[in-house]
Amino acid sequence: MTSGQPLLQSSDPSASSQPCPSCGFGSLGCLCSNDSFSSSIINDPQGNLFGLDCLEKGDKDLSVGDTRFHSSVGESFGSVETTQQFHSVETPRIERLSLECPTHENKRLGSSVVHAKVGSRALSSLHDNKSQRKSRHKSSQFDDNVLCEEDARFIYINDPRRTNDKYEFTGNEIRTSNVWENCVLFPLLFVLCVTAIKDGYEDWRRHRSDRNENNREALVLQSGHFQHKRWKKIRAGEVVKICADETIPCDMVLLGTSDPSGIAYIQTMNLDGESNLKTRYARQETSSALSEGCTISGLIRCERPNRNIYEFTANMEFNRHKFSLSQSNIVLRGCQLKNTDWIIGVVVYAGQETKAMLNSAASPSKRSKLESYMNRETLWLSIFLFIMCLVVALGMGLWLARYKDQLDTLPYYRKTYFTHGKDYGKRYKYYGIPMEIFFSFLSSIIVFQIMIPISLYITMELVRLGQSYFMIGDRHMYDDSSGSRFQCRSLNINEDLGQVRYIFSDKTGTLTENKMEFQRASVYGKNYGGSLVALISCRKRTFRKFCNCSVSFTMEVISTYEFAAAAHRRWKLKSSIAVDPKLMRLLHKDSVGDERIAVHEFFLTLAACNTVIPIRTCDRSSSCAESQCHEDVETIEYQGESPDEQALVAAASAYGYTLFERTSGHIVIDVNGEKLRFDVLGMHEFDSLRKRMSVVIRFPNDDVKVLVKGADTSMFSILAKDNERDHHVRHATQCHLTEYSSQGLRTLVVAARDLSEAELELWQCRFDDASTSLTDRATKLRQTAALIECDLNVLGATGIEDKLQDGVPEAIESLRQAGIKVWVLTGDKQETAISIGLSCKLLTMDMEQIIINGNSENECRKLLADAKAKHGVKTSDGGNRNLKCNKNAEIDYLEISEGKKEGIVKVPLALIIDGNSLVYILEKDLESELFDLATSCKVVLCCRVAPLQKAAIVDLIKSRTDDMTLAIGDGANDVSMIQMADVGVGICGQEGRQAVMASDFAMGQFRFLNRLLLVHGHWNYQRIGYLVLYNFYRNAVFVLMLFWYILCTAFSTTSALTDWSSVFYSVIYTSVPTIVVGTLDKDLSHRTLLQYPKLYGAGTIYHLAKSPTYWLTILLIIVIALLPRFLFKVVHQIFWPSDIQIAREAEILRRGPDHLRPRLDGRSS
Amino acid sequence: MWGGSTSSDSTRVRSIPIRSGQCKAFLSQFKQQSLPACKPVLTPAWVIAIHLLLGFVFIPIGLVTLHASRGVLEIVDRYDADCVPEEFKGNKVSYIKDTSVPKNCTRILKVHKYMKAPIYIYYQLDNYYQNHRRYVKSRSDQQLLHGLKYNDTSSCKPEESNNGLPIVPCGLIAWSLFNDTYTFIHGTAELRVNRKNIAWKSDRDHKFGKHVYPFNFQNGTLIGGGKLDPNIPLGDQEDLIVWMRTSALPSFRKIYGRIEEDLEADDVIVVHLMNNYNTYSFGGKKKLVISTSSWLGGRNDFLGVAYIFVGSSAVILSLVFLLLHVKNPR
Repeated sequence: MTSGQPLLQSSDPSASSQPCPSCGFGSLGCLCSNDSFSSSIINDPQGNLFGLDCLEKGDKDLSVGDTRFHSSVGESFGSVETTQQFHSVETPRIERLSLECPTHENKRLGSSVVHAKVGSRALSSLHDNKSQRKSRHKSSQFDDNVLCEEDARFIYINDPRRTNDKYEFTGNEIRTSNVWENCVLFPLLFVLCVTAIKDGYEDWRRHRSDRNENNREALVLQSGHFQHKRWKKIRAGEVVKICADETIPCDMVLLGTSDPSGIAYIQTMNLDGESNLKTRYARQETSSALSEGCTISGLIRCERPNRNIYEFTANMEFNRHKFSLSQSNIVLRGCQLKNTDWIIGVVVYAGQETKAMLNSAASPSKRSKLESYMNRETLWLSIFLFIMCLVVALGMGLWLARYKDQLDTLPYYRKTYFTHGKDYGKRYKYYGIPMEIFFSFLSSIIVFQIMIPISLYITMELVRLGQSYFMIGDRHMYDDSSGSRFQCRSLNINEDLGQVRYIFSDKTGTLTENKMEFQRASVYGKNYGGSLVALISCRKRTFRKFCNCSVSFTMEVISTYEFAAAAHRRWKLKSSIAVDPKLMRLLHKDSVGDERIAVHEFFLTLAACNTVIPIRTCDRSSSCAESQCHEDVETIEYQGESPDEQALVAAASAYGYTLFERTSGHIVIDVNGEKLRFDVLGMHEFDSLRKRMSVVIRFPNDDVKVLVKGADTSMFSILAKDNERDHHVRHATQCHLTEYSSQGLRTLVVAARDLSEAELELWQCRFDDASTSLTDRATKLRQTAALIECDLNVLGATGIEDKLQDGVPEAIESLRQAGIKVWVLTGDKQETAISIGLSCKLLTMDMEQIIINGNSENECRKLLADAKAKHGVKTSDGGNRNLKCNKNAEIDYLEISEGKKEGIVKVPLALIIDGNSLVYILEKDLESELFDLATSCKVVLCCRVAPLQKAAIVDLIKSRTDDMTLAIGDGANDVSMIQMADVGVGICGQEGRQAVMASDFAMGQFRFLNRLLLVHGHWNYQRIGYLVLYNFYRNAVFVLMLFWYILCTAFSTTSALTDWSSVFYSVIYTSVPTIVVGTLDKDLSHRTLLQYPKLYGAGTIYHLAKSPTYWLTILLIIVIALLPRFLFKVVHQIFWPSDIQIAREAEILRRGPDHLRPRLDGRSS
Repeated sequence: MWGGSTSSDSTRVRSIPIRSGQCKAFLSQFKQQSLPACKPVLTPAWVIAIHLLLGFVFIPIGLVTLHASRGVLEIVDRYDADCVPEEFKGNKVSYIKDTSVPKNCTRILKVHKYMKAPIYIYYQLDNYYQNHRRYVKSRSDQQLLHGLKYNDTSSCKPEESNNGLPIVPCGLIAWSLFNDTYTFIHGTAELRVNRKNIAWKSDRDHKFGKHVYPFNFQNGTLIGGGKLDPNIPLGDQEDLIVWMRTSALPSFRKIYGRIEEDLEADDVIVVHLMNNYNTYSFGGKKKLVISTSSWLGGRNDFLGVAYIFVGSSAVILSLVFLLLHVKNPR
């Protein structure tokens, strides 16, 4: 496929695909930004312009080594489909190249033009390295609703052979192990060996886990039956059946599910970190065809593999119908099927091309910054060593030249054998002066080689081991609740913890516990939950170990009120909520007042108006552990898309309104032991425009009601206005809402309304129409919703707490005092992110928020420019960018360290940016703009970011500053960020172990970060810094001592010490004490360090080398070290002249006339 | 001041009476890195005080050592140039190489002050690189101990063997054995010079064999220095042992013997010496040194001067700090 014999038949559609050597790395580099070629080939009769161009480039650049670049040009429907595969054999896929096809507006016809752009690759050819790295994180961006014919790939359902006919799509085998890239420069074999063994082991481990993954089995349709097949053998186009709780082996388009309506629930925890269930739909057409049992065949045309996990564009040709597929029709590798018996899907992307794999960046090997500093320093030492050796060699040469004639008679230097025998008269180890100089140079290298601190690397390893021991053993970093200790997974970067300047944090599971809790309720104008008394009569924790080793604990809470019900209740909740007794009492009142009805409806709404699915499991083991042993206790677990809804349903259940069963047609709610069945007539799901959700249900007594819940901003406008009584309630509710939101609670307003028959009929008609409509369904549904979502009676409001982990606000505050910038990168919505930011004190009310959420490049550019202009952020560009950035960071740091005096003058800024704009910003050359803006802000919040965008943001800082970055997260979506950052910290949370596996350090809680950085980081850094400096010092002492001595031994490189002493000097005498100091030394107690976080930033040795004073001092030391000797010599010679000196002077005096004599003679003669 | 940042946030261990408990608590404190520790905070007052103290301790020590060193009397006489007869002044090398020329020479030393026994006699060589790598390596410690039984004497090159026979003791060092001799005459009588026990005891007993006799020594074409009596074992050849302990610097003294009687002031000592050793070829100097000793050893002002220097600079520094501190206190 790599050959340079391009065959391209443009006119023959049957032979549609031909191999086409295409542009490799190099050719992209040489494409300058305006060197564009059009790919709009539809109406272009010469439709091969594109391909030919490729050929030309390809011919030039075929030397890409073993990387093969396939490109198949296919022509059908009058357009050219190109599928490009960049296939690398050795390295994991990191680069996805697409051809540069800038738009030529005039040639752009129809929707078949695609522009896949490769970032700003050509522009940034100056920073080659950087741009390579950058482009790794760039996901290709596609125009919305344009299916890219160019890059489409064809999947023939259940026909893998035909699918793979034109081009062999990647198999489902994955490879994450990378070839050892960690070449240490230093020639000591031992160091190399240790590193090699370590890296080799790690790689082997990765390889093993890959193998396990590849050898898992899935059911694949083979000759009419579903048979087991290994994952790695699965190919694109095959039909795969997945059963409940199984992991999905590759990216598949759903064809059918066990649910007749074609719904499947998946958990995307591994991809985006969200633990809730997401719904995916099989197209009705395929789903019904499947249930009828006919053979499935069809054609899917989808976009090239890309990284964007929130986007999927494809269309499907099935039974001569053509329909579009979207994100909701695809299930991705790594997700888990939940709550659905089985699904059947067709593989579209397999192996390395799956979105999950494209999102996992190759794990880079991390090296501590101190170590790279050390390497640089070692280079200087080598130069110093070289100079010393040169001096010795030169001295040797001079000495030999001076005593050239006496070399045999010198008793201490005999160059010839004078003993009788076979050697008589031969030279003894003497090869002439030049060679002697050379040998002397070599031997002095041997003598002085201790200057190069090779043993330091070993010492540092040992010290880090000791430090890790203490970090792991630290009781203050032990998480009681999960029983997880601190883990040091990487031994290389302990000291980097002491230099962190940026923290990138995930939100869900890291800052928050990922548990929503129903905290407050305002019902009918009354505030409940203010003094939440948990009526917990018996509270027991039982730790149960399941076979899958996950520890879960249940808390059984039985309130006094529940006791009565408990007798006949045969189920219980998985989690429990503390209830407000007042509200409880109200519910159990028998009076039939307005308030009572409102409360009733309030909880009904909570229980009914949602998309939560109750899952009942028979759970005997837990109940037997309890004191009161119920037989066959059913546990109800709620699973749904939104954790908020789960919390609300759970809360309703605690107050006696238990959602018991949900199907698409009806729901069953257990109201205080009485099971009521409600018919669901229709549901308007939550959308971001309406910001509310409504459900139309028919009560058992044939009443029809609309139950609505939504954000307060969107709800108050559609409430009924006329009612005097409601006015009061509304006002009170509004007051309560402000109170709740100021406490950082997420608020929702609950309202309801009766529906008359006429209204119902009208609505039902419109609703049916809209929900089956093929075009603009969303808009039509929205219009329908507006029909009934009006004139509502407010029932109340809820306040849900997204529970922060313990001590998060405090930790963030002290980290900030320590001069560390905390950025939050989350997959959540913007509003959620802001509210969390507020509740964890990341954002404060006095901050000015800059919100950037553009939908196009220009919009983003404008927003950025506006923000910068408004807040006076200086643009730093050109050559001195880095310098300025440093300065910027420095200034910020000073600002922080000088307290908040400055803050009064300058309003602290907070930047909130969403993932959509990040796509444009990071892709285009707006990066620097963003960087300027972001670094001048106190807080940066990024919401809706994809895993790889997180890494790109980290890289943004990492590549533009020297500052150390730390990423902390708990989910698989944080892995790339954790790997990208200088220091990666994983939280052992509920979201699997991927983050921990990828991290350098792992711990149980976010707040431990505080101690990790401020105490251990500081200590480690001080210790290692001391160790390194001491090592350089002791080596210098040793070598200089030898050097001065050698000058006294006629430059003959005699060692002043015996061999053993010199070995022990560096191995024992001076290194054992440093190891002890390096592991145990504390310059300040941990209390002091925690109390004064500012101490964290104090003392860096990196910048020491830059200051001229440092070098001046070094020079001074050398001079002063020599001074006494020469001073002594001079003084001695002046005041106490030796006999020799006198003799010599006398000689000179005597010779003086001799010198003059010839001259005199000459004159006289 | 001291322990200004004592990290003794730990609860005191002492309150736990049981020993094992104490041990356990200690261990856990160690693991938590919360053992009581102190780190001196160097406040100006402390620095000044420490410097002053240093000065006050060091200066007296320096004075005492200097005094002791000054009490040592030393007579140094360079004789290499003066012992060359007038006719050879122009070509000293030919003088020393000419075996027919008598090498005896007479020097007269005057004792200025009373010298108390034991009086040590040294010879001093200057510009003699006994520390040259080629020289230092050219010996075989095993052969010195075991004699001919030890064959592997390749380290002794180029003085390893002669006429195919091994040399004992081999090597350049032994080959270039110093061979000037001195006889001292005080008044009319010869001063008795004790030449026993001038080498290290460990060298005599453990480094040089008691039953190793010189063999084939100084038989080459080039004679480097003294010859050895082949009937005396190496362990008793103390001149050789002294010589074989090579010096560290190019200018060195080696002990020759001891005079075990006091010398009065204004005594005149006549030294008859045999000026055999060739230092003329490389411009080395030879000196005869007669010195008494003190509890510090020979005359060496360095230690005393160093003490005084460090002590006085500490005092000066403390004064400077004091001034600075008074001028702009923190």
